[in-house]
Amino acid sequence: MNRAPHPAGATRISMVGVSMGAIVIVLVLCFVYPLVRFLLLPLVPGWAPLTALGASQPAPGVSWQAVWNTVRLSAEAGLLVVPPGLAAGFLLERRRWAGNRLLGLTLWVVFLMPSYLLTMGWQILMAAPILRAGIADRLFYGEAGIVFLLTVKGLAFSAMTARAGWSTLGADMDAAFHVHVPSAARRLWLTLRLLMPVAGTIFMVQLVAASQDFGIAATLGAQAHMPLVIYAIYQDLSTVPVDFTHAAALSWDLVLLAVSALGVQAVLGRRSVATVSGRQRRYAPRPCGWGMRAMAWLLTGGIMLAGFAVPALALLAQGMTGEGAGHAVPAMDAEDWRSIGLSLRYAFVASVLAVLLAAVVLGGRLRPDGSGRLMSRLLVWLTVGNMAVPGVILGAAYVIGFNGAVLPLYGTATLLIMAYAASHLPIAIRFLDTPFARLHRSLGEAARVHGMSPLGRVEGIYAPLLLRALVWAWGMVFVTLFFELPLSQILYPAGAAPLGVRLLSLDDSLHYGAEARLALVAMAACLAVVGTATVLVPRLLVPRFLDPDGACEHPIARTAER
Amino acid sequence: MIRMRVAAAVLGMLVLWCLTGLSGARRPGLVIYSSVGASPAVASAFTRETGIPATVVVMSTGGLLARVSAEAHHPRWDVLWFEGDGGAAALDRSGLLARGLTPDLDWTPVGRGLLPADGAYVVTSFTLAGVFLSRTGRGPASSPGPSDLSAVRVGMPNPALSGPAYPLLAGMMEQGGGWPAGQAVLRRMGAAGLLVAPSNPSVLLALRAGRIDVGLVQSSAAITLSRQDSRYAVRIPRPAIILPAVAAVAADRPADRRRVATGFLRFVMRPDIQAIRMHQSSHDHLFWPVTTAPAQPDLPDIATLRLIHPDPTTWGLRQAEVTTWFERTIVR
Repeated sequence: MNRAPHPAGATRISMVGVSMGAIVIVLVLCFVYPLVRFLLLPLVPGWAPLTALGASQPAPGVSWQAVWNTVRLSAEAGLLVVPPGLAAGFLLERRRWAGNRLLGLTLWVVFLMPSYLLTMGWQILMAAPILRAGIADRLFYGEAGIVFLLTVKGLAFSAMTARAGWSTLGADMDAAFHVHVPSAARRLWLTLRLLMPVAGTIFMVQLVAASQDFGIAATLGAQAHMPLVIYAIYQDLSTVPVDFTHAAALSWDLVLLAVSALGVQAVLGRRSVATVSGRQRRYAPRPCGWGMRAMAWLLTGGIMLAGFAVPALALLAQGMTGEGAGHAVPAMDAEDWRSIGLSLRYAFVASVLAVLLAAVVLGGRLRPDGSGRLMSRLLVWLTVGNMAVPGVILGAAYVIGFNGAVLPLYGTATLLIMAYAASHLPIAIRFLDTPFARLHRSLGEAARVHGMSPLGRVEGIYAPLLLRALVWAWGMVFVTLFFELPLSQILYPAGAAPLGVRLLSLDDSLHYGAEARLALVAMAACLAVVGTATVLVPRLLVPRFLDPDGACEHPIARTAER
Repeated sequence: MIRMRVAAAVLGMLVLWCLTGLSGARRPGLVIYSSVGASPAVASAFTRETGIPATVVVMSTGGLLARVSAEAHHPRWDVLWFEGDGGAAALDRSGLLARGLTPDLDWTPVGRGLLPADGAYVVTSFTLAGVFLSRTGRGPASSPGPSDLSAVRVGMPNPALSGPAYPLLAGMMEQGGGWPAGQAVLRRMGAAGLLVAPSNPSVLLALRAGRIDVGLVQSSAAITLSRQDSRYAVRIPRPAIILPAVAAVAADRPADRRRVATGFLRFVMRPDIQAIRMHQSSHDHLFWPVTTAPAQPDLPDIATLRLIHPDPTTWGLRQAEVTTWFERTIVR
């Protein structure tokens, strides 16, 4: 179709160029520049702010013990998470039973539960006199305990991935099995073989996630004297002797592990797509038999107990009763309240920035002329690629990148907010990807034909249609940032420690009671803020003619459909 | 459309309000990074007397040194006040500390012996890096040395995580024949089941829980617990290892700020301010002064103790090597 020249074509193109250029500059500043500078430190040690304080000789080489522990424990957690993940995915996708929604909700709660709070709750339970110094205590403060917690934390993601895998198998494949394969055991075997790429993906992603989990490494890993790479990096940055170059060398291990695992996962993903067509009929969920129902409740109950109920109840009990270190302290002191207030503000600003930036990046696809699609796709790849870099490494990169004469931002709230927003931009993009993809470009086309300005299109069409998704994305990013730990530990402004830092400091000094009270009050505060926003904002701003799923009854949309 | 614009304006205002609050509207004045518990009280007295605002940022010694080395030559601090002269010597070697600060005071012989030749830091007081704390009747014989500890379960803080623990480790090594000969003492303790905890409070908790027989902890923490709970007794080793508290000024701050910071150091050393420190309610008041006045009435006379002081320059240089060896061989 021949397109009529736009009256202000040159200006519009230059505006597109400027906005995309601005995004590229922001992303280069937030990701490329600091990460390259940090990861090149082993080659250029002079870039470190101070070379090896307290060291008379070069830092020792990479700790192979930490590398071996990391790979072994992450692999164990990766293997252990596959069976319950596949089972949960199966129940969510293929079975109709009373606890289906509860299982989905439980997985979300476990996903959002900070791993260090999960660990703290279990630590409090293990400190109970009846368990202390017993077999359970010895197992918990060792490899078994760390693998157990890493597995619990990985359950949510594995179940979501498995659900997608079960979905792609489709009803046609199932029907074909029933016609051509009489043996039930053989059918199960064939189904499992078809799910192998999905299981591989779950394993690989869990391997990466477990190797990057700072919360468990910094709490249980440190107290169990089990060196892990992620915590070794943090120790290089935050304890004497401080050694940035050694931290950078260790960081290469984690990045290479993540890149290799994600590369294998990408290959498996392609094979999965090649094996199973995405155009198959969707499987209609069937009711469960009594045996399966019992197993389903057992699985749901187990995930809920291990991932939320036990740690939360332990925190609650400790918060109401005792004090670990034996000193009486006030219920909540001024520092505790201050840390909650600071985290509310840090997380609010950073989550708004992350979601807005994600919307701008994804919005490139919505341009009526399709001019921003390629750039948008490149930016999405860049930010999602950043998921291979854990928070500790990003934090260390920011220390190196923003402590010079040009951008002396280290130790300021600005840098912490910037790091928060950058680290959670990939998550926001992933979350918003589908809602943005569902918007057809013809909406914008129709609006433009009707003479609507770009700002008018954003205000009148895109914002109302995407508001629910934007608010949910904001809520999810806000919750994870409110309890964020690794970046906070490395970058918090002196005298303005956020919640995660305060909680970990109470945990280190074994003030479990004060820690539990602070964690519970913080959870309540976070829930109140997110609940209010996610309920009120769509109710106040989304027009009534849009249904709850965002299905379109908008006049412009009807025009576009015609 | 109008509602959307109002919502955008409200969102913008909320973000601005948060940013304004976080950027710190108040003037920070003199910025003091400190791990000494009495520092907020001393800073308040300084502000009351001079009118100069002072912001105290309290951190653990390890965290403080890490942050100072990360800030390097773009410091946000004016004054450092922490425990352990090895860390101060390392910062001085990196050129982060202003030199020639030593004030002309009536130093005690011990105090004078702790001062650095280049005046890069001022010693404000000292405690003992490690004393024995145990349940009454269960501890080692009176005044034991490290070699007497193989028969009991001992706990000590981790020098990689707890600032005051490194001088303790250095002192034990020095008594055992220096580096690397002193490793043997630690190996023996490790073989006997040495418990290495993240911090002094963790060692105290392990002692209360009965997981260890003897805690090797900083004198101020041990004496405080023994006075609160008569079931616990403190024994001071012979020789005991000195843990100096030191204060220093940033070399890379503007001259006017350095002047104020140097004034603060002199203020800290005044007898009336030392007296304020001695009247703190926490365990921070349990220190030995390094000037002749005022005297410390609440601790044993220093003349009755045998003291050693590991050379901060020598042991500060070795900190990476020694701590890494300890982490890999003893902690595991």
